[in-house]
Amino acid sequence: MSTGAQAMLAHTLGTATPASRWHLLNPFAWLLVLLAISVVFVPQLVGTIVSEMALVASIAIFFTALVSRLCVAAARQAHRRAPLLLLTAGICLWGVGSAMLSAAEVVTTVTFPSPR
Amino acid sequence: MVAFLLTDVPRRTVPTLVVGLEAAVICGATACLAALIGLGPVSLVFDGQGVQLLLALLYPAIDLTLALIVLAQLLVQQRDRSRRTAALLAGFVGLAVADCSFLLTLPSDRYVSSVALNLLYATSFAVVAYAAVVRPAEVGAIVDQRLRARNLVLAAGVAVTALAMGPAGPIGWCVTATALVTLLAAGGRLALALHEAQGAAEAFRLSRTDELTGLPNRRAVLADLDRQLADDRRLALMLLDLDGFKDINDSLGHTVGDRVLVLVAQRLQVRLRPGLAVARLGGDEFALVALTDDPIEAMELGRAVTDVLAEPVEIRGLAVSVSASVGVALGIRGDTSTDLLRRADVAMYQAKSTRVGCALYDAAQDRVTHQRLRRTEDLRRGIREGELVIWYQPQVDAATQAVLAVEALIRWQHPVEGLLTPAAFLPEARRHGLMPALSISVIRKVVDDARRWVGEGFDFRVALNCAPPEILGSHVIPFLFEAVTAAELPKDTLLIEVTEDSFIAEPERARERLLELRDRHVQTAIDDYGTGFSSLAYLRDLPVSELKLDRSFVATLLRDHSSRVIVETTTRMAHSLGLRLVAEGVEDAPTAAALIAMNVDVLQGYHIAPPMPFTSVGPWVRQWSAALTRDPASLPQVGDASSAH
Repeated sequence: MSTGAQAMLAHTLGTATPASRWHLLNPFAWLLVLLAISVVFVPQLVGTIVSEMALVASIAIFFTALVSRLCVAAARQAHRRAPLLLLTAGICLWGVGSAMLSAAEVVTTVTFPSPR
Repeated sequence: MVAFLLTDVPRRTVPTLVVGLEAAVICGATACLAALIGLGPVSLVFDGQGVQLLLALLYPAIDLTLALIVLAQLLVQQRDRSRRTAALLAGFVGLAVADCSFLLTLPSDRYVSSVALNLLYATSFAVVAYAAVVRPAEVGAIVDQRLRARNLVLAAGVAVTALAMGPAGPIGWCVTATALVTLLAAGGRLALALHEAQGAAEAFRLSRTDELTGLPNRRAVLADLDRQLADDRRLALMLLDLDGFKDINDSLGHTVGDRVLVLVAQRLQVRLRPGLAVARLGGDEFALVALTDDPIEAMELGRAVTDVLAEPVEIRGLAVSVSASVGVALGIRGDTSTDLLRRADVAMYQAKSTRVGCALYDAAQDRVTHQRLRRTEDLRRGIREGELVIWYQPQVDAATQAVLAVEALIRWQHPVEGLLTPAAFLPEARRHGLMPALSISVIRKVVDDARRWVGEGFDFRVALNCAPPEILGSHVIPFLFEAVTAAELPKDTLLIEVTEDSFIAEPERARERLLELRDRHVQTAIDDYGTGFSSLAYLRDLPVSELKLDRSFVATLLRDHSSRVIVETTTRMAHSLGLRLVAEGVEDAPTAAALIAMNVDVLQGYHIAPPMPFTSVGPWVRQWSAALTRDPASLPQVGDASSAH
């Protein structure tokens, strides 16, 4: 990412205290959100469509935050940009694969991992 | 992910074989452990084999591989020991646990979303992401940091356990192979450790042996003394220093000098009584340790040592006489090797200075030594803080009485003892290697003073003395040239007085140095002429301007016929060679008159003027010159030749 792009990103997210802005994307913060959603909603609504939606939504938010945070880190740490982008890509692939697998839910429809 | 791990570390040099093997042992053992408690049980829930099974275990296997990569990077110092690295490890292990749990709880027909499992996945990814976004600390230089032996033994134990358990199941062969590789790496590390141990033992032996003589060296003897003193053993230390060894080295060369040391070492080992430990401390110093605290017995041993060395050693058909001074010190309860060695050194110094051959440590002499050491430290400080002052003694033309030169004479303005003459501190300065610093300090002051006199319109020369090592050394004379150039002194303002000793050790180098001085328009004089070797070849070959007759001839001129003849002939010879002859130590008018009658060129001594500080020189020269012009009779009588006869 060029310096101009970094400046634009900084402008978009605010320039007054950029560190605190990035802090909003801390995966741990969103993990807490995920935990809260899971704890508050899921036990009461196990097996319902609401619980499924809540879980999917919170996982989606979490992964979005995670990937965003990694992107910001890649933008801010020029000398580590390639490794961070590689990690981001890896997590995205994992997330997409996992989502597809979970969405299918039927073991026989997938061959990976190989079922009994 | 692998690409992330491999690219997110600094590029470092390839780890050493030792570090690589240690990393292999630890990682192999970790892999065995992970396979035993993680992948093994998981693999049992599947019926498939080969690629099908591999695919089933791919996710947890990848997670474990990632964790092993981080561990390996940590071990080969590509990653630092930080929370960041720990987080990476924890994240990948967390993913592996989650994947294994997922596979173990897999029902027959459906994937089930488990909240706990989802949280574990999320937490693991969050931890990995945390580790990724934290800026890595600067990784320092690679240090030769070895793992503790117990960690390696533990790792090898894990591998042996894995083999012993002979894990069943479809991945059993993987565990066996990994354990074998781990044990091979451990074996390689063990072989390297043995090799290193052999090298260390040899290095240890060499570090305690004197290379030339094969005797134990200073380190060995000090360690041995410390051990024996700690055991309250009664012992005496004899410190032996060869007399005149430097002359052997200088005159016959270092090869012969080394041969002498070897022969001395052999003689000490063979000819002295058994049980006497002999060591070479360095240079021409040897130490002997005897198990006795009887001063008489120790002194007898010391004398036996001097007797053994009294016989000449024969080298290349040449009989070389070697004598030694021996200092004896007895061990006292609570002593350290350093204490004992210091006392033996004091005794040895006493033996050398009194030429008695062998001396027992005397506490009274130790106090003198303390004073001497304190004086040396004072002098070191004095040089640093500018306490050395230069006084000047005028030299006048014997015929015209005009002031031709002043000789710089060093004094030490001691803060407690007052003004000290050179005899009080120069020997210590020579002994403790302070002469270069002292000479440079003198040159700096003399050149400054000469510059100021030139500025005031005086045109006399300034003579200063230079010791032989400084003439031949690589610091003092180059500094003199720099100082003269910086001060822009007129040509031939400075004159260096050197003694004949300067030409003995390295005559060719001395000649080159004097030629260099002449080329830089610094005159040279042979000081104390007639007391050294007085080789006439020097006068023929060396580019000197002046001979300075030793004061012993001048002082006895009037009452000793031989001195008179020497002065007369030396003067004639000097004039024939185109050299000035300076007579120093002119204490009275009759001597001055006699010297003038012999056509000596320059007079110096208390009869003309005593040494005086810089501030007095200018007024004295003006006063002398004015008197010379107005009323020569008011000057010290130097022309009354009749009184000399």
